[in-house]
Amino acid sequence: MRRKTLGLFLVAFFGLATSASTQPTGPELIAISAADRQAASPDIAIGVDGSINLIWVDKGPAAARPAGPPPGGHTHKAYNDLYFARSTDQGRTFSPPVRITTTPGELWGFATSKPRIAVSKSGVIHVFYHGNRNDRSAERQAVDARYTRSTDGGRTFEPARTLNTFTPKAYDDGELNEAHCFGTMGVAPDGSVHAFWIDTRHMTKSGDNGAVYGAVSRDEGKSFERERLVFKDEACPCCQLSTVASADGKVYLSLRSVYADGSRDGSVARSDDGGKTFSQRARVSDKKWMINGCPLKPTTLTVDKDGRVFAVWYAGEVQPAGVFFSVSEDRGKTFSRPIAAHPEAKISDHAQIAAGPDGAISLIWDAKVGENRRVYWRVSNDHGKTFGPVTELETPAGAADYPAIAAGPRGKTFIALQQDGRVMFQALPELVAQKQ
Amino acid sequence: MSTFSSHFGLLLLAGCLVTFPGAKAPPAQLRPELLDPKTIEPISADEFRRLLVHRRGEVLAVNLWATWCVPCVKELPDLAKLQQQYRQRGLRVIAVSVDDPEELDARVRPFFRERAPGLVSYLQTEPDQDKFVSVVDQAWGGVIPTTFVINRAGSLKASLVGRKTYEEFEATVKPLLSEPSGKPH
Repeated sequence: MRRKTLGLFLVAFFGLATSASTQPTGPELIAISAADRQAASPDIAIGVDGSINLIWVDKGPAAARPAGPPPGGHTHKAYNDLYFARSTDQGRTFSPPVRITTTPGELWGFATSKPRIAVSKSGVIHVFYHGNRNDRSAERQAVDARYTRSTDGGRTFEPARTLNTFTPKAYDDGELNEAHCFGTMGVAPDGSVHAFWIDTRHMTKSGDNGAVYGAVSRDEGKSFERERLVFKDEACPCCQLSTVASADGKVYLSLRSVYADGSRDGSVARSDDGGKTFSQRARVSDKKWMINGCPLKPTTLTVDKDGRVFAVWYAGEVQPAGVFFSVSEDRGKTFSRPIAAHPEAKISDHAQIAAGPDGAISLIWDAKVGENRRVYWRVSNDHGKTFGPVTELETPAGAADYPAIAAGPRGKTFIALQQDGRVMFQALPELVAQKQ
Repeated sequence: MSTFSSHFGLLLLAGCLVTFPGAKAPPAQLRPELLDPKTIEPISADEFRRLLVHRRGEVLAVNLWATWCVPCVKELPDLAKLQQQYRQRGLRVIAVSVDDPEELDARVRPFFRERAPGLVSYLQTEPDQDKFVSVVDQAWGGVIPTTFVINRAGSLKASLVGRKTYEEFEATVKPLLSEPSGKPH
């Protein structure tokens, strides 16, 4: 009853606030992006000082687009901008949005290739995204892996740097002739920055798989080592990568691998030498998704303080298709029997996961139970062996999707999501409180 | 039976009577270019719903594709062949592009003209792509290509996820073509 009342209060408050720009809409639910802009695909990172750092894709003035969520349709051409906002009071208020990309339309980013943000212990804010090398008038497009950082709490960002070399693929598809895309980034406890991306340079014909390249900074982003080839031709070229570093310095990388039998499944590789070399990939599930298509589905990772590796992904080989979860207790060599996150849903997708300092594992995703996609979450307090009940996040009516999640150092968990063309934020202290 | 065939079999929703929302509503006036498109026409979810109602009595294969999706593009000729082979028996292949609407003139129309002459195609324009596809299937997972096969009565009979061969398409639609028409008029 209390939750219901709170939800109604939030809905009412949110409704009142949609005409304002970046104003708090309630004690917990806050519209971050401006009301007159179309925003999507948020990512979130928490600093050791408790600061909440958000980035999102800005698709231009809302007036130029139809009402509602960002336009449907995907393209190999995207000309968007990247924005940032920060809270230093546990999410009660946020700074005005700051545009990170300096050239309008530079960002090649959308829901299935989200820009990434991370904060190192020293407070440096790291941002990784994909940028258009040419403006929209160019007939042939090229997309680069770009990195920038802020050393002043997000007030300013350094000029972005390209991490990849320029190497076109061996054939011309008439459109996106050179791509370093669908990438990710993570920061290790020692401050090293690990960026990875899917690369087209080894493709010789239409339909070839992607390579995975990576670049590492050992000095918190001041400089990067030259790119390294991680996997040459095993990656589904449209499924975003994910990476995470554990407290013991191991770096984990997930990709949707394309295997010789035609299956496309989530897999995880581990580096014990700071990203120089990686192990063989381990499947997160022994079930195979035999799919010759474009799933656009990542496998997302997190680690807990004891080094367990947690993975969430979309499994298309089961009915109903949807989000599954698994945990590795042996540093990514093997994964447990998958658990369905939301088997009652018609469809579930876009899962993210966070490990809290107390060991709680928070899983969040969007799913369709009724007409619209809504955001749901569950918590595990036994290292992923079991999860609490599926709970719908209380947001205004309509479609809410593409959540992002991060656990703070003081036991709170925070999420961002997209709804009605805006990026929203909510603190979720009750996620941790609902221990079984 | 291979793993692939087994999986394909599981995807067949034989006997599942999933009618698209709004099917009971009488078809309102549709733009003439949507009934007989000469090129790729933009189409909203509501128009698509009414178009499907209008096409009751035919077996429909609704294929989601995009110019940037290599497996999609590779199966278009098989769909065109299927259309040609079974048109007289009441099959209609409807290809729906999920490309960005801003790319319609510059990219999608020329591309489709070159790669799949003879097929009918639309480009979905909904801000929420899921809303569009939900006209046919509430449980679409966002994967392309996906081909939804609908019987003459307007019921979804199969969701074919990923690229399929001509033989797989044929095996799905052929039994439905033998069924009596469910057209109410």
